[in-house]
Amino acid sequence: MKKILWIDDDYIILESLLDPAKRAGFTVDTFQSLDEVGNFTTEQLSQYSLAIIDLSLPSKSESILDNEGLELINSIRNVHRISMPIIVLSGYVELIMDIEKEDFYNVITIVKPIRPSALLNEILKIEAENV
Amino acid sequence: LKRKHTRLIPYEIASLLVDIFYAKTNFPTIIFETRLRENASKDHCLIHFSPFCKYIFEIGLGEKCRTCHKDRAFDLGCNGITTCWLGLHNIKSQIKFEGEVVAVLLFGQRLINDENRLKNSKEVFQKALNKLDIPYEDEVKIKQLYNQIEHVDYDSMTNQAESIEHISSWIYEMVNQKIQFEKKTQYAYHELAAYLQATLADAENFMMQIDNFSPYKEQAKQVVFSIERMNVVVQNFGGFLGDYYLKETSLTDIIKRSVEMYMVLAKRKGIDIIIYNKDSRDFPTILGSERHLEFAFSNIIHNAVKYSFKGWHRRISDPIEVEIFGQYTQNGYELSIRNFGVGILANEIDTGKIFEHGYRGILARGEYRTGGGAGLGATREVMIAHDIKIVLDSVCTQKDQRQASSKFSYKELEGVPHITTVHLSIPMGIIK
Repeated sequence: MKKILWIDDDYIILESLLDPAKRAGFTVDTFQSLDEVGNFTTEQLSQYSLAIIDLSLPSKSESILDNEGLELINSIRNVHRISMPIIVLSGYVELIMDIEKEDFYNVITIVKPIRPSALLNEILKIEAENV
Repeated sequence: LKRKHTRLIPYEIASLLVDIFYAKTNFPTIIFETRLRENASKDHCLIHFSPFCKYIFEIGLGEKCRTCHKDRAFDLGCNGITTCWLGLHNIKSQIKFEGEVVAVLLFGQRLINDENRLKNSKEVFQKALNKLDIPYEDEVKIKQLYNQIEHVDYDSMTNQAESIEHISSWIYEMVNQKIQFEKKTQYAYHELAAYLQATLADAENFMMQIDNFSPYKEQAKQVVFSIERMNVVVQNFGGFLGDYYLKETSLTDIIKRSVEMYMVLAKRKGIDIIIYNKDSRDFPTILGSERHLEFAFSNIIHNAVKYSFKGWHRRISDPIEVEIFGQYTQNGYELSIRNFGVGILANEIDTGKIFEHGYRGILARGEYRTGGGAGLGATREVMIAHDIKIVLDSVCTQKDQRQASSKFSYKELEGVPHITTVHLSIPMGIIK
């Protein structure tokens, strides 16, 4: 079964949202900060068939809305040159708009809150499209 | 990761301060923010500049002035009176807030009535002039304007500094309080939203485990639904775009900026974005909140581009553009943003679901809409706040005229092209 890279700073959300995906048979590697994933090699990233990134991740600067997730997507696409599908989740519309303006290839944006079943549907759809 | 220098006071307030200072003291003033490391009112301060300084900018030497202003503002060793590269006197005044220098004011552009200072000023001016490679007539004009610079007493200038410092500190204190409040609100929103998202997820996971025939199944569904509604309430409370600051706002500028934002995406899809105004070159200027309106228009235009069919997938008779059309009517101004492509089910429009926060909807070709879930709901809120009526229609274009209707499921409408239009009715009352 395929492997998902899931980054969300909030452990409670992480646990609750990924439960259906795990039950559906996906292997999920979870990380709670960008720092943990930032130093991944291209080889490490390539083992995942999907990345799910939450965009209200802990910020290093003063503003809660600094879009560090954008940097990670940029890095996956432009530094590592990996085209795996990415789902971006955020409760902040500004952050979602920042991502949409970039018009990244194969990136789906979803405004939270979302039901776990709806998220699982997106994951299954992506899996079916990328077989 | 890059860190941006963020300003403490918004550009509009910095510009207003510059105007107030000029009205009170008659001295042109520049505000440099310590955190921003830049002139906070940008070039707005130029309108108050002395004829001498304005002329220097006119003949293309403004950059030298900008650098000189900045160097003096952030030079820790120079305080009080400073002399610019052309010999004019300014007063540099630091604005402190909670013991920290938050801004530096540079004001004056005068010559101080003091023999030694005047002598020094002339020397600096002459030396700078000698180094400049400018036409003779410019040199003559500069000398002429230099001789017309107002002379002021040292005391009158420093007295003004005191009152300006007080006003500035007061403004910074107010702005700081507002920022602190916003941060706390943002934090509270973040925490509430996070826990509600987790609760929603837990509730649904729990509901899924209840047997369909159990009497508790319906109750569990109701809990999930209630939590979902609560999430919407919290999302609205978050007020992600901040307060509405109403001012004269050019819709032409907003539409232009929103179109530019998605031009790359449109080009990639082979779609033209046509802007057509029946009555004049410009869309109207309205009393509105620029930030909110820009969000709303960019959202509508983005959707129009995103859900348009690609140019090379079309039939010859199909339109390949997103059209933004405007005209005056008896009651105000009608704006429509139209695109050809993936439609919206009539059922979603009729029930108003498409405008609900967080509703991501079903597209008329059978796909869930991604992104912008809160976009259309928030867009409608922005429009309502401006008294602008927003109506959406999505009409099936195929010859058999199978209208997008709730009678048909999305599967039946799969691949059927639609013309989707967002109609905005702007009332005369807000048009300037």
